[in-house]
Amino acid sequence: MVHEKEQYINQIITYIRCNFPVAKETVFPLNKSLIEEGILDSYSIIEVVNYIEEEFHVSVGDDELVKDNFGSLINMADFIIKKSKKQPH
Amino acid sequence: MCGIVGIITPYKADPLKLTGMLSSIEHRGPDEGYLWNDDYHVALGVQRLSIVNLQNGVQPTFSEEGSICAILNGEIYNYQEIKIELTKYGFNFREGSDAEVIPAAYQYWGIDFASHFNGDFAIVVWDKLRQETILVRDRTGQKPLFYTKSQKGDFLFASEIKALFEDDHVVKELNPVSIAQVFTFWTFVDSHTTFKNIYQVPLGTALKFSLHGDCIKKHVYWDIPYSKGQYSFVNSFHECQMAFKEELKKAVKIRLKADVKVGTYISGGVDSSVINYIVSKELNHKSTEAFSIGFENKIFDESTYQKKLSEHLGINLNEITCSNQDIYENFSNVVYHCEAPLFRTAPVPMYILSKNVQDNNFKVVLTGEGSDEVNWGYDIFRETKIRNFWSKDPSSKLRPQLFRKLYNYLPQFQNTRYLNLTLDFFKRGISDINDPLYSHALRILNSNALIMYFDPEIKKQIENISPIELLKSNLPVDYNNRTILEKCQYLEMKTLLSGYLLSSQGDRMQSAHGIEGRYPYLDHNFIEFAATIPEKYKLNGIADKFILRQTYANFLPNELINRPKFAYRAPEMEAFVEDKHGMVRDVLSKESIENLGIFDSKVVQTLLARLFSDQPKKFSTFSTRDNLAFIQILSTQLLFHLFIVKPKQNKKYFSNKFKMVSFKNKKVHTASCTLDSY
Repeated sequence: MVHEKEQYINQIITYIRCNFPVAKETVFPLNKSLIEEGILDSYSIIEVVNYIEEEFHVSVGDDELVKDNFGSLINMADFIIKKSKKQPH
Repeated sequence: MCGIVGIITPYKADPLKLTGMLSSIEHRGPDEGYLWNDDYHVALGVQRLSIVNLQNGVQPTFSEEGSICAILNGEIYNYQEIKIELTKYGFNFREGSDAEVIPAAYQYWGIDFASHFNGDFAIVVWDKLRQETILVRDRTGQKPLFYTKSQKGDFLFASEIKALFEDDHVVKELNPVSIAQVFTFWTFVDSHTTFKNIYQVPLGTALKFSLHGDCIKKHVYWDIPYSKGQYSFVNSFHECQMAFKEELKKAVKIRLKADVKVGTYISGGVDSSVINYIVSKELNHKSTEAFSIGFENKIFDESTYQKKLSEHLGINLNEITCSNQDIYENFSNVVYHCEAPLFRTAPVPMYILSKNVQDNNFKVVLTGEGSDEVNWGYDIFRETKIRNFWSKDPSSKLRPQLFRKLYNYLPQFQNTRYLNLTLDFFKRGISDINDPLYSHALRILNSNALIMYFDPEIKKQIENISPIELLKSNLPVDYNNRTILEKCQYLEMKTLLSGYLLSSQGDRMQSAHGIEGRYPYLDHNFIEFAATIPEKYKLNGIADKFILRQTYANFLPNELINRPKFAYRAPEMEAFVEDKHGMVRDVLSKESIENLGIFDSKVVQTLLARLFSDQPKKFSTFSTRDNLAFIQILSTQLLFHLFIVKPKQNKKYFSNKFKMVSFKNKKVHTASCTLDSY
């Protein structure tokens, strides 16, 4: 489970590093909002949500697009795990 | 519009040295060029755009006995009243120009003289007896004035930086500290410019310099006014409207004074509609023609509204259309004229528009610029009000819904699915209402994040010179007496208005084609009047520019008067995707980025990959942050190319196109230059 979570977090970080201009030395905080930390803007988070839906084969309901699920990298990974259990691929 | 230049030197001043400086800014005033020097230390030059008193506008102007000498770029609209007043104190005037009042006004009022002027101006005064130079700019920063000290010890000043670079002893080096300011506030703070050791006179300020070019006094003669809690017309909105109408009409009327044809801009919004209504109906100014620009890309296009207004008022409208290709083709020239990093491409259409004005033989245009700041029209006023309202009940689900009304044009808001995540962005710092930059905190955070594009070494060098702290340290002592919205207005006028809208989108785009923009909403009497009217008359609930819309509702078509604020924008990154001439690939190449050394080439390459990606975009546009970063980096790199890597080749300047001015026997004389070149 822990391994799985780490893997998801690393995948998301890699996606962000490859697709958004992020300084090389930027440290990705695990439990802080990427928007609040200035790493993503409010628009880029849409692209991240889209990536998570496609990459991890989870569908995100409108009411699930909240800070509790997307407010940090840990929250995102937890959300993916939770959703994957509910909807096995 | 004119161009002014000068040199004060401990050595002997050679006026012919100014010919190169003047030629580099000839576009500002193509009608005539004047040179003058005193017996030894001083030489001044003017490139004149003749607008008032076409026959007698020789500059410099002199005091009666000749010890005070002045040059002017811009207009002093109340010069006749000033003359009457100064005549009472024993001064005599020889000619009819506005510049003529400056020496006498300086002699009588001293360094505060500009506080008596109503106008838009940059002025230089040479006081021969005291051996001092005074540099002054107008209250809102409409006209530019830069200065520097060369390595040789000469003190140089000019309307544009490129004129200073004509002196080989002026070092050309971009200043990362200033560039970081643009990446934070979209403009420079205080007197900073793109280049190290080159400064601009702050707005509403007179600076006094010694013969050796050291600033020995800074006098702020005007600052953005506020209510001080004392409001007029509290009990009568109607009376307030009458006064509003009267004040605005006066501001328009004095700006129609000219001995050449005066035109207007029509943007399609309410601000320029009102100006056009006053010009054509209230003041019955028949010879006016209007100018407008539309976009091929309909997202940005307002031409339907522009046509509607001109038809309603019966004004002849000269229309042109801007394409993505026009943005791309003109961008480099625009950056050359702006001499500052840009954060959007919006100056380009203004550049094309002013060319059309020039092609139609107009020299002066009235525009609606300044209304959004003075009458509180920008989204940032409403955003601040909503955030402040939300801060009183941060758990409220309803209060933040007001943002949807405000930003319905942003994709994040169009798709309600993402609303909750988007609102988190707006919630940041909502309770920090004592933060002096509260209104601008989000904009600053979002922009300042772009410092990540800076090279790690440069980041280290500038981390102790925070743009935010610098701006805070420049706030006036009574800043905290202002209300939260008055603070917002202050910041907006001190940063974006003066440093960008009146400069990169204003003066520079107009003067590139020898035309002069005039802004009735920025008449200081009107600004002072608007500062004293109750806040709810300006921002009523979240209805912006309320009094302006209400006052002119019966005179303009409903669809124009009640049209929601439509942010004037132009195509950004998408205009550069094709990169027909390889300009983007060249200027943003790894080699070029490393050559300048301000940005981190690896991060810039990620941005370029987004620009040139073949993959179909899931979303119709690039994000605000991508656009900001791209335009800022591209324009900064272009500045490096245009001024340092490949500066424009000096033309051979012929001095015989200038007239030498002299002052003898209490009279001004002019003669053609005798030398062929220098």
